[in-house]
Amino acid sequence: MEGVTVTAQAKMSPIHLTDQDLLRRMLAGDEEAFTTLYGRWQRSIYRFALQMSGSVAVAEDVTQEVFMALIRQSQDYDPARGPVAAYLFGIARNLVRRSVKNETAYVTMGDDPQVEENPTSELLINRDGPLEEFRRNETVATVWQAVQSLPAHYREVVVLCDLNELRYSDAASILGCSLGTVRSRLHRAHALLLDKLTRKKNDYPAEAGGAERCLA
Amino acid sequence: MNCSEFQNMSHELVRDRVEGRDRIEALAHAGECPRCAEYLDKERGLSLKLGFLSQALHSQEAPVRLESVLLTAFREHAAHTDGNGSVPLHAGPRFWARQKFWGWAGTAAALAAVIALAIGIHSRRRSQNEVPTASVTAPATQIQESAPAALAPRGEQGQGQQQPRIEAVQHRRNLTPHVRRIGDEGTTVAENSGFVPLIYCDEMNCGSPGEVVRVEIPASSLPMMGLVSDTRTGPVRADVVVGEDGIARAIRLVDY
Repeated sequence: MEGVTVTAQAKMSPIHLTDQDLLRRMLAGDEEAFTTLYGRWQRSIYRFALQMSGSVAVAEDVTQEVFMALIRQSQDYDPARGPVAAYLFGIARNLVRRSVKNETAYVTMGDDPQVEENPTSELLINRDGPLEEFRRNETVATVWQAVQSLPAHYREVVVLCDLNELRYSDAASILGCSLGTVRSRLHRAHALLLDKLTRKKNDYPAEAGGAERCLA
Repeated sequence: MNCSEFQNMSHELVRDRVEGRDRIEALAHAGECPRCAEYLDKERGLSLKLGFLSQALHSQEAPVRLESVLLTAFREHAAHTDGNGSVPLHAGPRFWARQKFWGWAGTAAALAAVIALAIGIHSRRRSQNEVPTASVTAPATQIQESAPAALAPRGEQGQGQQQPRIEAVQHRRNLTPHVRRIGDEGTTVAENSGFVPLIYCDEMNCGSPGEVVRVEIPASSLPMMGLVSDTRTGPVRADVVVGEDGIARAIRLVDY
């Protein structure tokens, strides 16, 4: 019976396999399993690194290192400690922390974004009119800066739960903390974000008013 | 439901992840508490903005060249590890401890082999430096060499009878490095039997293989062994074939 299952699984396309099965195949030297696993998780890992670091270069390096670690040290993965995704995010998290450790800690709201390249700048698709597009771009840029200015442990939960829409339990597994800690950090992170965004919004009318006066 | 519980849940409530009774209670609390209702509105606004950001970043992905770099690395790794499928995915600490143990055991065995080899080479070099001669009073320096075929009476033994004995002695020769140096003299029994059978050698006991012992004997004792005598005095070096029973079979004078 087990043999039948194994045979059926062996014939199954890698796309339909679970991450663990793919990892098992990968360990046996199956290149297709590796590419499938890479295709499944590279976006999330890249985005996580980008959203955490604010740097495209760091995001690329981290993504590469995460999958290099998967190639070289995947035998270290312990299924009892969480899913493969949590293992990958865990590596990415450590790498991001290491890479940004020596760099400027946080971006302050009043300053120019300290990212080498604004990853949100060229991504907004013009589905609405120019004004709507402008507003959305501005909102995205503001929220991006606000997220980047959060302390790392709050930024992590926002990136994982809000931007990548992971479940709390998965986030807890990645961060190595309890579900309650994820909830409380998220609550606190949102409070900080609201505060930052409100302050930014309150600054805006003064600038707008100045502009009106000039125009008048 | 109190305000604290509501605010902890509001994030999930906005994303429609709260269902059933919890959802009804939360919405009821928001209806009664203006502060929590305001908080929920702010949470909805924030969720919308974060959604814009998430959408803006959604198409972001690693550059295509990264995949080819990783594929190359994967192929290299797979080639080096020979597709190591023997490592179970669920390998626990005991598995790795066992792997580590055998790793150390292998290293220790390799080290021991190297040490043994070094000792062997050293002892061989030492033995090569030893003087091959030995006095009669010092039989411990016996040297083996092929010889016993010469012990058989010539003409009585056919070629077919000699061959097995030579092979037997040559086999011994491989086991004893001392033989080779003596063998450098180019004396195998078949090729050059300078050995003279001793007088008590007969067909019964001369056919078995023996060992060659290089000794120094008085020249005056040579006639006793049926050898020519000349005017030489003092010790004479000779190779004596000693059978397995310890009885001398044949003798050959060295440098005589």
